[in-house]
Amino acid sequence: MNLSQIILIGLVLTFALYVFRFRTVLRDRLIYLFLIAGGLTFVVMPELSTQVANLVGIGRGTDLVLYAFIMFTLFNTVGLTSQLKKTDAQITALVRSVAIANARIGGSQLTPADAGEAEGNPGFAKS
Amino acid sequence: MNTDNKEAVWIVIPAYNEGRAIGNVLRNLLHYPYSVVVVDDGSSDETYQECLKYPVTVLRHPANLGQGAALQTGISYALRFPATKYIVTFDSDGQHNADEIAHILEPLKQGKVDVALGSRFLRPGDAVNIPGMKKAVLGLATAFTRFTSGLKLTDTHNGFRAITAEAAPKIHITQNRMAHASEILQKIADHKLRYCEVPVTITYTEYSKVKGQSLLNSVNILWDMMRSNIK
Repeated sequence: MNLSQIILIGLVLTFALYVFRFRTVLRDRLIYLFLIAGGLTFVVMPELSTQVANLVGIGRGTDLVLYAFIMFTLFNTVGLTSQLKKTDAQITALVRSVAIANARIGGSQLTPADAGEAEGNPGFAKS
Repeated sequence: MNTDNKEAVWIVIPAYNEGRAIGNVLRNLLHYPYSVVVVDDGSSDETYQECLKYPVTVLRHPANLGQGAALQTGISYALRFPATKYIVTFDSDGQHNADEIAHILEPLKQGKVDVALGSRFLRPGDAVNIPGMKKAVLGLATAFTRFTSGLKLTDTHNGFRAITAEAAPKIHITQNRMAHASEILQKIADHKLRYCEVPVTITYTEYSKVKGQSLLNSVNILWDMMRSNIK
């Protein structure tokens, strides 16, 4: 196993640990800034990617950039998933409170809402 | 002490597109001294209208969230009443037997446990007409949950449960879909709640077999459990 493989496997494991344990929005943003700075550096100095790649045992600089890109995409996906999770939790809370606020009792009985507030609430007409 | 008044026991029934079966389930429950709340999880069929024919409380999710979310909505609703002592979760597809609610409440009333979990595998013959594949999948799920939660159970995915009103807030369900069964057990373990299993019969009808969970859905459950761990 060459150096780049060890580094990549290490990165993936660190990444998993980060995602499940240490992730915060601020840390995410710091990592984004770091990645953007790294990307810009490679744009300004294209030959640098080849030098770094050779240093860790990867043949071409393009491959190094590809690996970095995959890691970046993973990182980004996790950020989005986490945000979706929060949005899901908010929707759940909202749906739950709407459901409870509109509780109805079936059969012949009426809920307090049916008896009083329902007049201003045509969406919940009696069946 | 007679705790069998209607205000003390709430039966929580999550229902999604159960318009064909829910009427029967509710009719059976009317003979017992329990309060009933059905949570219609945004069904696209006549579930909601069907439930409103009976003297039960009916809640409706304006959007479909999943069985876990529906259960929690019903539990949250029941907990709003100070008289609530016990909450029983019950399936909407006719698999459970209303007669057995009294059995599952018994250990709670005796103050022995905080949670009583229904099991179809404690007594031979309880899992009526269980399909072979179903049995195999449940066996795997049980082994997995025993391993992750450390609870010694024979049936980890049974929708028939009873919880005291004191313990219920500790088992707040955040898994909206089917992973809630594992989540409930994990929370029982985390909060060191006292639990026991109670034998219950599960009747597999043609209807419930169609509505039941498939083997592939366990992939979804594992996925949801993983996802919930992302910070």
